[in-house]
Amino acid sequence: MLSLCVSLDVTAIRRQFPALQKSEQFVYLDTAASAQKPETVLRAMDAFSRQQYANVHRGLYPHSDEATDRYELARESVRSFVNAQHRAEIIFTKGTTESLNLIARSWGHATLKKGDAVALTLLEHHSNIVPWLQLKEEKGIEVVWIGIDEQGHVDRKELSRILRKGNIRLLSMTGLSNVLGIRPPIADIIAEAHRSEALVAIDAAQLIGHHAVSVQELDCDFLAFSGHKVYGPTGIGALYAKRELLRSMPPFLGGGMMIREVRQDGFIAADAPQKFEAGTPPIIEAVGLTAALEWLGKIQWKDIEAHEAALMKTAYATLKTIPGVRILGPRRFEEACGCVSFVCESAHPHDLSELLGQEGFCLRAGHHCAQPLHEHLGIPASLRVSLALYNTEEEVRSLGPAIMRAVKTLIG
Amino acid sequence: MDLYAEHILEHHRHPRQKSPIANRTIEHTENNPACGDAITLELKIVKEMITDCGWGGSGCALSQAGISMLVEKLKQMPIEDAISLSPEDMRALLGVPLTTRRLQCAFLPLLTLRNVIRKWKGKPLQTWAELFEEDLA
Ligand SMILES: Cc1ncc(COP(=O)(O)O)c(C=O)c1O
Repeated sequence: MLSLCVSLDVTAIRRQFPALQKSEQFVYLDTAASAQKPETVLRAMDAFSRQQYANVHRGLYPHSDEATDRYELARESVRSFVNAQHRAEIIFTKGTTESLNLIARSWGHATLKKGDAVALTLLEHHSNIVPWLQLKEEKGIEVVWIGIDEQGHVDRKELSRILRKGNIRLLSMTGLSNVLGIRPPIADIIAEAHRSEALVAIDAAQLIGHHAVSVQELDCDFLAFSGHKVYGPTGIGALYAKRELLRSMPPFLGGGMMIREVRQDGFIAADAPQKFEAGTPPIIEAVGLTAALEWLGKIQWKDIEAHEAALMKTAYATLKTIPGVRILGPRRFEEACGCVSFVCESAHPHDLSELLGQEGFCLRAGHHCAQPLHEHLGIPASLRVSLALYNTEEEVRSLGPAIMRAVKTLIG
Repeated sequence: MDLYAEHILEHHRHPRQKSPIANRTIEHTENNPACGDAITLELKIVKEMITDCGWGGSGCALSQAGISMLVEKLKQMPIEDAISLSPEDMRALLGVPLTTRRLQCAFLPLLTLRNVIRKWKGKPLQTWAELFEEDLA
């Protein structure tokens, strides 16, 4: 049997999460939707709001300066976290959704012409589908889908064939599926796409909290993620884009901050990243994000990975013992990360999720914003167990009997 | 009382009139995109009266029990009475406490009923937003 060496002190980690200290049972298995926040993140935001808060890049007084410094420090934290070369390659957004929309609205709108194509995989989240379908409606670009096999592996032959067509300008794909927990080999795929002169955008919403990400090593052209999935606050996320791309991309939203100069008859945009950050940014959230990334940075990725692999092993073993349960996605737990979704023959996901919720188990039911994937799998909805570094094997194991109790309630 | 009260579970396990009917006048399908619940309702209408009905569909216990309970009431009901069944009536019929997250499941049977009749009358279909607004009122 494979032994997974775990050197993460989960008890100590759990103690740092106020939300996990409830007196009633609270088994949070929905981190793929949003992560709970450690005390240090809450404290940082609170202290900053109380003592140092002011708008950024505006007032010429010490508090504003300090706020600006903290905001720019957050940019540096993100740069270092994703190992980008330049700070100006990090644009703050509201989250992954806005980041992906920014690529489509700015780069896509300015660059793509009728006949050009954007390739997506069937694993994508709606936020990496709809912006491209909008461009298809507006500009007549093609949206080309790359298939997956029954375990969720991206069809590399189809990908190669599609890339050879020569009109793929961008491949926009997830780094880790928010439904199947499968992790496409993005480094390899990016290299292949580049050989066909296609750019690559990575939706790292899920990947970012489970594995180290280095945009320089990946050599991706864009990468999007949300703060709330890396134990940070909601309302902030980032888009990484290569500097040369940002130079030629037009602004996204118009307003304050994003301009160098405004006259009655026109404006000159500021340089990146300000060019893409119109309006007052999420300043308090930026402080929270810095705290989250610092907190996460103190834990070794190899320990996180080992712990989460052990959880996944338990999740697979637990689900497999339940009659009528079918795991979607990889057959081997070693290939799954972050989440595992399943359906149960005799019970609708909504009913299971509701009944499990009554016992304090928080699991998401539905299509998880991935309808094309669910359609491909031939199911309307699924139930998802998602795992994080604060979950324990006992929590995951206790899910088994809870599911069986729920099924019993439903079918009698 | 619990959402999964015995009467809900009983209808879920033994749905009533869950089959197509002969000589239907009209049928209509509504679904709940968030979770894939779907209900197709078939009515036979004679002289403004529902003389027979049947349904098909799949989904969670609440939506499926709800339509099963609703069709039991529909037979021999004048169309005008059927179309005036309100969200409040649907709540009363289900007789369990409803949380926000389950409202769409609970009201899917009602929306399907409303729209199968509207379709028959050649009227525009009702939207979820309209139904929820009515429920709030
Ligand atoms: C793979 C993936 N992409 C994009 C998103 C969208 O993230 P957000 O809602 O934070 O913008 C999510 C979040 O659920 C996700 O899992």
